Amino acid sequence: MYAWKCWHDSRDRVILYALASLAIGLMFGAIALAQYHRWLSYAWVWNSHVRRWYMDPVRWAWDWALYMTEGSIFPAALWVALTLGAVSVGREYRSGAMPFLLTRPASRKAFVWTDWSLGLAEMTVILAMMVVGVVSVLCRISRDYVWLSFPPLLGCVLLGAALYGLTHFTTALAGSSMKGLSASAAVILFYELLPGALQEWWRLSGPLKLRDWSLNLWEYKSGVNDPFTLHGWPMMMWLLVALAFPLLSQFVLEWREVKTSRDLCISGHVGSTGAIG
Amino acid sequence: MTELAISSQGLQKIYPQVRAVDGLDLNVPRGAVYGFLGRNGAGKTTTIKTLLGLVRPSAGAAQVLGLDIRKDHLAILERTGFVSETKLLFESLTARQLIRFNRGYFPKWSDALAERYAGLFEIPMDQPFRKLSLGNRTKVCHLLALSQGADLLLLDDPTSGLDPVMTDLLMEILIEDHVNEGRTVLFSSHHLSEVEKIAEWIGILEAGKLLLEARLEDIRQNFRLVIVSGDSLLMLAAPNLVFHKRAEKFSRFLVSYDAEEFAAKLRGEGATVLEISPVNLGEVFLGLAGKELPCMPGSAGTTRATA
Repeated sequence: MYAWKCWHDSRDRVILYALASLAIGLMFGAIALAQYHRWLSYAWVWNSHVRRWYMDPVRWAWDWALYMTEGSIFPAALWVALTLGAVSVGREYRSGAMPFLLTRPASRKAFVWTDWSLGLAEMTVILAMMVVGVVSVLCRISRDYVWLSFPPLLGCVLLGAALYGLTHFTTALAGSSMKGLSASAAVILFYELLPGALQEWWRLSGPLKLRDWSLNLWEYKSGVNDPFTLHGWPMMMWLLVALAFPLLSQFVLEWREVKTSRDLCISGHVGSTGAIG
Repeated sequence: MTELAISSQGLQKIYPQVRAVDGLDLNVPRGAVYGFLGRNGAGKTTTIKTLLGLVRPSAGAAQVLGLDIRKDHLAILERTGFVSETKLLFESLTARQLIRFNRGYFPKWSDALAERYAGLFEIPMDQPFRKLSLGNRTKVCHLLALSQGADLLLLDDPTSGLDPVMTDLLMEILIEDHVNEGRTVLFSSHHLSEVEKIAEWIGILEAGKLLLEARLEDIRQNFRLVIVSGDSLLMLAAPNLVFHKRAEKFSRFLVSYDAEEFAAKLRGEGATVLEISPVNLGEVFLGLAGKELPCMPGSAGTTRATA
C-alpha cells in the first residue's frame, strides 16, 4: 500500500526523468554512430595510425559513446538522488500526514525501507535508461561491447544510492523536503570542498586523497581491452554508506515523536495552534 | 467489574517545559462513548497520541483493548480508528485513492461502509485532498476511520469544520453503527453540547491531570452545586466533594452525591446555605477547569466560552 502511494507521488517525475535520460542516451549513441560512419569513410586512417590502438572501429564508437555517458550519468545520479530523496517519507512530518501514516498498523521500519527501496529502484531505472539509449543505438553496429556499459552504470547507481540515502535521511531528520534537500546539498558540498580547503590551508593531503580514492569507483582507460575497471574497496565503502542511511532514517522515524501542533508550528506550517492539548 | 477499552495507571508525558500528561488514571469502559474534555493545552491530544504510540510515555502504563501500549503497538493500531486534530492526510491523493491506500492495512475494512459514508457525507471522492475544504477533509478522515471496522475509535476534535447537519449525522453514525455494535468511542471536544448529546461517560482533564471521570447520568442525577455564604468556613474533605471554590464571602461546592447531608454539615460550620441546585455538564466543566470570577448567589450557572 505504501509502495503504491510512493509510486503515485513520484511517478510523474520518474517518467519525465527516465524519458530525459533515454533521450540523452539516444543522443550520445547517435553521435557515436555518426562518428563511426565518419571514421569508416576515412578507412585509410585505420590502415595507418589509429589501427595501432584500435583494432576495431566499432569498439572506438562504443568507447566514444560511453565516454560521453560517463560524463553525464554522474550529474544525473546526483540530481535524481537529491530530488527523489527529498520526496521521501520524512516529508510527511511537514505535510502533517505523519500521524495518519504512523497510525496505520505497519512498522515504521517497513515504511522507511519500502520508500527507500522504491526510490532506489526508480533511480536505477532512470540512470539505466541513459545506458539503454546508448546501447539501443550502438547495437545496430554490434552487440559485442554491450558489457562495457555495465561498470559505469553500476558505479553510478552505487554512488547515487548513497546520495539518495543521505537525502532520505536528512529529510527524515529535518521533517521537510526543502530542509532535507538543503542539508543534503550542504553535506555534499562540504564533502567536496573540505578536503581541498584542508590541503590549501593546512597542507593536509590525507582527506583529499581519501575523497579522490572513494570517488574513484571505476577507471576508464581508452583503447585497452578492459577500459572500465571497477575498484572493489571504494565500491564496498559506498555500498556500506548506501545501506547505512536508510538505517539512520529508520532510527529517526522510530524515535522521533509526532507532536503535530508543535512540529507544524516550528516549521511554520500552522501558526495558530501551539498547544499540545 | 466492567471490562475496560482503555485504562491507564499514572500515565505521564513530560516535555522539557511542561507536564503534558501528569499521572493520568483513565478508565474507559468497553462499548461506551467517552467524552474527553479539557481546555486547550490540557493534555487531551497528547494522551490520545500516547495511547496510539505517536509519543512515548515518560512514566506510567496504559492498556488499549487489553493490550499494552508499549509492547502491542501494532495490534492496537489494527483495531483502533483515529481521527487527528489536524485532519491532514496525504495531500496528493483523492478520497478514493485514500480508501485504496487504507483498506489494505485493516483486515476488517468494509468497502460497503466506505461507500455508504461517502454518500452520506457527500464527499467529493475524486478531488485531491489538498483541494478539499476543512469540512470535507474532516469527513474523509471520518470515512477512513469509520470504515476500518475498528473496535475503538479515538476521535480528536471530530467535528471541527463540520456544519450542524453533518455534526448531527456523525453523532448518529457513531451511535448506530459503532456503539450499538459494542464498540467504544473516545472523543475529545470543546463542544459540551455534543458531548452531552452522545457521551455516556466524561473525563475532564486540566493541566494533564484527570479532574473528574464520571457517568454523565450520574452528573445529571446526583451532582449538586451548593452555594453558601459565611466567613471562616473550613475546607471540607468530604469524599463526595468534587470541587470547592471561594470568592469573598461566598463559596461554591460541587458534590457528587448526598448534597443535603453535605449542606447540613456546612450549616453546622455556621454557613448559610443559599442554594442547592442540579448542574449540567457545562457548569461542572467550568467549575473544574474554568477561571475564577467573583462568586455571587445565582451566578453559579454562568457559562463562559472555554474554547
